[in-house]
Amino acid sequence: MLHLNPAHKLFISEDLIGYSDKLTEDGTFPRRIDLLLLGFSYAVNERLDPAKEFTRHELHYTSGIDEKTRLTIEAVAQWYARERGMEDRVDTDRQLLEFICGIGITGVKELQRRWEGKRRSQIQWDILQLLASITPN
Amino acid sequence: MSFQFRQLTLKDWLVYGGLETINFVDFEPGRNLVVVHGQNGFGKTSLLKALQFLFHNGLSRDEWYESWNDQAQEQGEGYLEVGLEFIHNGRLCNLTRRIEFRRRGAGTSPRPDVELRIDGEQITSQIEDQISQMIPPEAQQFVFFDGAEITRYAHKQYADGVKEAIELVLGIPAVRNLRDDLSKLIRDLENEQTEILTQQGENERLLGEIDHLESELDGYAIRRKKLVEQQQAIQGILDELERDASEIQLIETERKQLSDKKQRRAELEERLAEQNKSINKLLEDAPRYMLVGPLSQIVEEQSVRQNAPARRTEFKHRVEHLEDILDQENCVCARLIDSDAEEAIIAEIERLKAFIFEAPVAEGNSTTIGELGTLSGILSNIRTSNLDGLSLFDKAADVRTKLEEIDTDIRRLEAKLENHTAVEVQEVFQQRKIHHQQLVDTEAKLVNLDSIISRSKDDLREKGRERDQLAGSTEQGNQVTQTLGITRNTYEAVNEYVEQLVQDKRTDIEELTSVIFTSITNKPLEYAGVHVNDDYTLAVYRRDGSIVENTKLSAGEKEVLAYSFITALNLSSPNPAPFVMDTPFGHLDSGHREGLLRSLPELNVQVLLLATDRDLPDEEREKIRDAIAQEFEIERMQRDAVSRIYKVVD
Repeated sequence: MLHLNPAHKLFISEDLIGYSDKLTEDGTFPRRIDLLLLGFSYAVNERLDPAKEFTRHELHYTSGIDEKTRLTIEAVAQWYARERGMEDRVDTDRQLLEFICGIGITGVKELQRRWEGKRRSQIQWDILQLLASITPN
Repeated sequence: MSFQFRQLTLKDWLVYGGLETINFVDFEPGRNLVVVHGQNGFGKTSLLKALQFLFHNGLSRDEWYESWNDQAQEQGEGYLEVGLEFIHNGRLCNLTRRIEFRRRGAGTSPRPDVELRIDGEQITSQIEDQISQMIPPEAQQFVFFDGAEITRYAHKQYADGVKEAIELVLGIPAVRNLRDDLSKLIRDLENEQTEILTQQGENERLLGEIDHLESELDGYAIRRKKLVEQQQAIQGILDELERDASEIQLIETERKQLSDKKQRRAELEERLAEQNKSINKLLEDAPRYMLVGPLSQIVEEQSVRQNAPARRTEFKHRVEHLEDILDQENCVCARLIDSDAEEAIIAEIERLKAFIFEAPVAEGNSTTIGELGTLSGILSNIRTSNLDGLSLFDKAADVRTKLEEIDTDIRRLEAKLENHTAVEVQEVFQQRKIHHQQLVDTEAKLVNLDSIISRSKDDLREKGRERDQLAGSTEQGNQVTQTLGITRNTYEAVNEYVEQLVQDKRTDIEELTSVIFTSITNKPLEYAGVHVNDDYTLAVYRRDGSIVENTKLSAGEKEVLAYSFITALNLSSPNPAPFVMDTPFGHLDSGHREGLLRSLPELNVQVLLLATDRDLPDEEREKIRDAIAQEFEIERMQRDAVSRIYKVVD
């Protein structure tokens, strides 16, 4: 299984910097990469395609993701690429990073729409609700 | 009605320029209210002051000028006059006070004059005494009063002189004077007896003993007075210490509450921190948890791939077995294979063949055994985790609400206790103990002294009887002794009457005060009545008989209590005067104001109510409409700076 290169940095699109800053400043998420990873999971569950054209803004090294989450994301990203017929977009670790971030950006944009007008506690409540609806418990 | 106003006239009095007259209709029970409406500054209090001026000539020379209308003063000379025609004790009275201002040099010189006519006959001597008897100056506060007076009375219950003023209203001093006159007569007659016996030159020993006993009793009386004063002083200090002690106890209770609340707050904060930690962990892991679906598919697929070689052989056997079944007509269970069963078997054969002949996955895309183990572990961990974040979130919100409530309580208690940080608790309790013991000692001394006084009085009475016998042996002495006997009997009867009168009056006032207070208070189910103590201080009691401490009464309740007592007192006097109330509802809430208004028609006297719109709003006026006998309106002619009184025609 292909793994993310710890020397590579995750990135987000320029247009989402303001939003991700807002959510980290008000304490909804501890870090901007946490929003990106949640966006990735949301997009996979919603069967969304990766974002296409955007200006990238680097966030943090992939080594900043805890090991269990990183491994899960890597495995799911490759599985999802196969599911969507995009196996050729995850041939190298660089491509894998591009794919994960592209999916993550799409997911964050969807979440931004979903959370419009919501405050921190409402967003956190929504995440927990998503979790409750997706997980077997 | 033995006391009622008929006509009030004012001439150049304060805000009233020229001549103003109010004609009152005859008193009618239940229809006893005369309402004078007027805004602040229009002249309601000028009416109150006019009546006070009439019945109690208490204005100073400077105040004469201040009371003379400004417009009239500009003329340089003239007079102000206040007159009242009224019925008192069934007699028609006309009382007029006038201050004449005459030019003298560059200024004016005032000359006061008073005129009283009773049943048309002019009184020429002791006019002020006669007026004072109608409404004693000390009793004015119970007849003419304003909201401020009620407030003052509510706070001055214990002031010196109030008891005397109250007893004066009740007519008690007049009866006490009779008793004192009789006591003086007894002393004079006893002195006469002594003189007769001295002239006889006998019984020096007896007279000496009587003299000795009398001076002893005088000494005891002085000692007793001092002891009573001492007792009252100690009681006063003790009352204050009791109040301090109860306040300290309250503060201590509140301190304990504050400490408990702070501890509870710390516990709640700790709990909230733990809940937040769990929520944050859940949110942090959310990206992984949300992928549980894909992850389980991956683990399943990868597990299959890991076991692919062994599985292929097994699947080949299964395909052969299924193809055998299809070749036969019957199933192994001996039943006929229908078309549905046949389709299902074919589909399964296809699925198994797809796996058997599937191309091996590229090396880079397959998971190692170690990775698969980790992914399985993660999946199993997610499945066994408690991911009920919503209930955790609800619980945390509950804790936050509790924290907010507790913070409010803490702020309230801290603000309350802010000024009580240096209370000398021990000192107060120690002092209370000491003074309590002093009170007990003083009371014991008083009991002892009273017993000595009682014995000495018995001795004196015995010696007095001996003196009566000896003095009665002569004709002159006999007459004196007989008169003395009659006087003593009369004294005893009057004394008993005085004691009974004081007791009866106090009971009357207590009952009336209770009736009025309970009809006005907005806690009629809690408060049952009012005790009037021997010194005429008041105590509200509850239905269970317990006393409500005065400090626990609100400002409004104290004023209602004072009003109830004042009215009860006037109504208990031998000749109740009309009430004149100037904006009496200033501090009262609407509930108390309504209760007070309701009580007015039940007072069996004329009531002159001087009210602003706020004192008597239209809706409340409507409620007492049937009790209103007359209404007047004060209008202010602002251009001329004078006020006029108009009768309101309904």
